[in-house]
Amino acid sequence: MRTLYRKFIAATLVILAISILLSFLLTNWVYMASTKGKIDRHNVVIAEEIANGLEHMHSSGSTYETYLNSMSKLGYQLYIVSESGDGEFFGQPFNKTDLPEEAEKVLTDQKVYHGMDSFAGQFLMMGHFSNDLENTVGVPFTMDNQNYGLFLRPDNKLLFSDIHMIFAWFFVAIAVVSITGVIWFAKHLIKPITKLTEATREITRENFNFPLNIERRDEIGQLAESFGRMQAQLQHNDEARKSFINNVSHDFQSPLMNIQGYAELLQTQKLSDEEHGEYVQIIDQESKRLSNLTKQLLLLTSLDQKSYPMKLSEVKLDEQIKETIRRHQWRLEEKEIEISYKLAPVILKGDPELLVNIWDNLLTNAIKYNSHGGSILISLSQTQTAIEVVFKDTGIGISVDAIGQIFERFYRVDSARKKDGTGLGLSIVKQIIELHNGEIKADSQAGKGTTFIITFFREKQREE
Amino acid sequence: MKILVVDDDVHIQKLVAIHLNHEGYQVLRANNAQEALMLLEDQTADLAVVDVMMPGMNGFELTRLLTDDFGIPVILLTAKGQLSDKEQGFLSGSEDYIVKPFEVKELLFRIAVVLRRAGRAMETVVKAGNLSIDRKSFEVEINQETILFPLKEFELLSLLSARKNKITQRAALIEQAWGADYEGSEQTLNTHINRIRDRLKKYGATVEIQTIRGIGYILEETK
Repeated sequence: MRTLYRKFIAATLVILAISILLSFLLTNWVYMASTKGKIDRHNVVIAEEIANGLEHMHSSGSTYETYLNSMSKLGYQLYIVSESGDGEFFGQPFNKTDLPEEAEKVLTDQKVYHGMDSFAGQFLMMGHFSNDLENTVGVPFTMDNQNYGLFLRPDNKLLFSDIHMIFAWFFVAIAVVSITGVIWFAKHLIKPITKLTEATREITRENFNFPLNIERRDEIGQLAESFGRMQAQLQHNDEARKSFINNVSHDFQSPLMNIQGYAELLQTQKLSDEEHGEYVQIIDQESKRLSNLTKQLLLLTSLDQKSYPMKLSEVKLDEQIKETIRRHQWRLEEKEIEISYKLAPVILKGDPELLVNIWDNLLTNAIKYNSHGGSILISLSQTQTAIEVVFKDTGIGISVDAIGQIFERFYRVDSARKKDGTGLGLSIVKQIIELHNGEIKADSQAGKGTTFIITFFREKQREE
Repeated sequence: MKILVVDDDVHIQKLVAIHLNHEGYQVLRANNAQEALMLLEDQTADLAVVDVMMPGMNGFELTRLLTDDFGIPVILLTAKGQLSDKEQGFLSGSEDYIVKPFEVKELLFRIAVVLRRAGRAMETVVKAGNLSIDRKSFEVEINQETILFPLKEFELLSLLSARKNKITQRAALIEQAWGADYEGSEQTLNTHINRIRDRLKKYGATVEIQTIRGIGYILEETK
């Protein structure tokens, strides 16, 4: 996390530096283009006024020195040169006292010297502060019928007035405040991220209850919120997985135990024919249950994969259902169950092998949980938007408490597990129906029977 | 009743044979089509159970020979999910088919159905009132709704319908449903007839079964 802090501060500093550089270049450009000339002209006016003063009021040789000294105290650096080349300085001394050839024209041609305008220091605008004689303005004047040149520039002290210092502090304050602000803000941003990292570590340790307590409305708040949802989902999945494994191991172990136990009995004990037959029957039932369970588990896990490879074709549902009935006819006969059906010719685009599983499971249930001599009604019909299949039986029914859970894996109404069910059939049915853009509803009255209603929605007709 | 079982899997052959024996059928066993045809040179069979997948001559070809040349009804054993097998099976003339893996009880049931059908010389579809009885598929249709009656009840109803408005004697009905050597009580027939009456009423059939005391029953249309 330190690195994030460092990055934030470095970024702020870089931004500050870049903005300083850019604004320097910009102001420089403005200075070069207009300010420089203005300052020069302004100073020429001052110089001319001083020269005027010299010409008219202080032309007597002795007084002009005091005059110029007092002028320099106002914040100017002055230099007076005569035709003979004698020069005299007033005020702060210059660093460099060379004058370019251009400046000589003040004496020879009586031409104003614009040194401040043409001076080009190394650091562009900084040239403005160069304390050189070259960086002055020069004006000609006459005193005692002799030509003189007056060179002048404002003292740097004058340039750096108090208000300038205030401005400088102003900028320092801005920099300090923004850097501390960035540090504080970075902390504010990074704290929840540190917390999320911790929570992630907890999840790897299978602790899904790590509290986040991040209440924010920004993107990090959203992240925390969806992280919380993920935690809940992971917890749910984890529980589901654990109970699944528990159920599977229980449902595999108990029939295996029965088979082993009764097989051992058959090997070692002297049994009557009746007992013998009974034990063999138990082994037979239990092995059938195991075989069924394996098949169903295999189907269920393959259906669980997000992209189950459905082999789609046009399935004639009426024929498929009729065929399923035919295969179970012997069971119906055994329990003397009467079956009636009204099957309209309906075609559904789907996976025929999966669809057969639906009818198989529902019909097996309807027979298994029916009373002796009961009846089963199956109907198949279609409208423009949907296909409806109804399985209605006169069996033992399902209680109100249980009906909400019948589609859950391994749920069995018969908790004693006397019937040879696996508790997977209806969850398979539900999953297959959902794969085919449909839904299943169950309606039941304990002791009277159960009705399953399946609706397949025609493509894109489902109301979401 | 003699049943010919043709399957190259010896275990299935044996298993099926044991169950058929147990049910009182005589069984002829063959490993392939050639063996089956050799057996039939000096023996006859009432029905054949034939596996589709066999080396040499396959089940469909054998079925065609058995039905066309020998007049033996055939039940085909096909592998799971082979839809084309089913159609091909009917094209080659088989009476019925069973998808592997099957339960022995299912096979016994289908055998019983095919044998019943084979021994019948009546019309396939019988009509009485709003009843339509298909004696081949064992379906009863009332008001566009199809009902599968338990086999014995179906037999009774189809005989009564075929002889509608005529009295059918108890003995004839018992023979039709249970066979000539039936030794159960007369009461069983009454129970079955009552159940048929309930069902007819439930589905709104426009026929009625009247009891003729001491003689039998009569099926009449109602208005």
